[in-house]
Amino acid sequence: MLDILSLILISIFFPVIVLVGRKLFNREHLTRKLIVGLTILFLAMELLRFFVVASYYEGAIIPSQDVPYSFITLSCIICLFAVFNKNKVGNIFKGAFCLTSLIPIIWALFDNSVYTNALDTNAVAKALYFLECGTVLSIAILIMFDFKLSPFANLWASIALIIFAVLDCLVITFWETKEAITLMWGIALIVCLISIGAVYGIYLLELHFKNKKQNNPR
Amino acid sequence: MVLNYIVPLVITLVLVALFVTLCTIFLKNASEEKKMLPIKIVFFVLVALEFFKIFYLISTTGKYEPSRYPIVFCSMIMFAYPLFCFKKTRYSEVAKSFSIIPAFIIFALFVAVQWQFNMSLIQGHSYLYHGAMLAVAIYLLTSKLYTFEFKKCFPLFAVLSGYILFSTVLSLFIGGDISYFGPNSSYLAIIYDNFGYVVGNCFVVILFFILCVAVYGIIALCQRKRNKNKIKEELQNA
Repeated sequence: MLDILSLILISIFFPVIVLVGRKLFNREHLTRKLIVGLTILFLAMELLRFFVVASYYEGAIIPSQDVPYSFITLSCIICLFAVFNKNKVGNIFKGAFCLTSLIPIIWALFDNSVYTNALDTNAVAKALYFLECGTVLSIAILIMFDFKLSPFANLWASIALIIFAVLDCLVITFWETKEAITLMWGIALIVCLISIGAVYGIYLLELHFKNKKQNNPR
Repeated sequence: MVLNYIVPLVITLVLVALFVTLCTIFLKNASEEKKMLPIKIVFFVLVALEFFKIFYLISTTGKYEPSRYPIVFCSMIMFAYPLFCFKKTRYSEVAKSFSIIPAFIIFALFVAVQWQFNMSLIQGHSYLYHGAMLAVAIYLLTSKLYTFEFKKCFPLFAVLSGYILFSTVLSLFIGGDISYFGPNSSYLAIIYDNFGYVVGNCFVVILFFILCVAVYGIIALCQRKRNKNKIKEELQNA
């Protein structure tokens, strides 16, 4: 319960701090610089989390069931392509990344094995996971502020989630880490799909209010 | 020995020679962008091979060893390709340098120890993986996408020593062996046994420096001599 509370609090307050900071230090191209900085931070935290988990085992040999692979790993790859790719492909990744930004949190709520490890007694890997969730949300919000998402963003995000689901099934089947896909796993997948639509709805609403404000400055 | 070592090695070298010859001949007069096409294909093949290796080894052995992480010395060359084959940036020339000399070193180190192992699916994968890197290294030279200049050896050395430092620190942090530069690596065991781990790695850095300077220096001297002879011939003809 405390884990869930920490996850939710960190996921909410991390973006709030970033957005307040952005408002206070309003400088030229600050949003873009923040996006790049947070992406690098996200990559660094994901790598660090992996190595921290590896360091718990003798000779850094991680048993297959404890390999720290979850949606956040895929999210990190999508984020890198989204931020450092300025062409059309980059826009596709931007849409997919923004709309899937809630999935790492939802997946962690449904299945705590994505961030827990029995050897992680000081909760370093766990804390890194929570911080990563906050970073993902912050980057997604900043991208949504700064860029216009493609009308097909929903489709790209769903494809990204399905790719993860297929990979996860492969991992479960090949690595024999867990039982076959459980009901909880299925429910988590459906909630994640719904969250994509929900985030898109919020994005459209924000866009609507922005346009209204621009048309009617008073 | 013949079946497990010489046959796969010969097949790999023949495939490398075929790749280099065909690509060089067919793309002789093509633009630089078109010349990069074979490298782009090799890059995607290497990414697929890397994924296959990770999934296959974890599923068969039930564990993920540090020597299989995609940050070992061999995999680092794969990460250098996108820096020059998709878009030209200020790091392109360093990335190209990193794809040539280290590819030769890696292939030599790989071949030097393979006689000990029996042929298997993962062995075949390794021959293909290292062979592809060697093929790209030779293709970069034959297609004239890369030219040796003495000043290019210093950024290459900086990248190489940076990687050695990174893998040394990481190996000590996680308590495992990242690539050839881990404390229990069998490849550099002679150096580590004689000098100790950290001093041994410093020795490796010095060896890399000598190698870079020697290779680039010798090629630069040869080029200078050839240019001098050309000018002399032109003057005589005049």
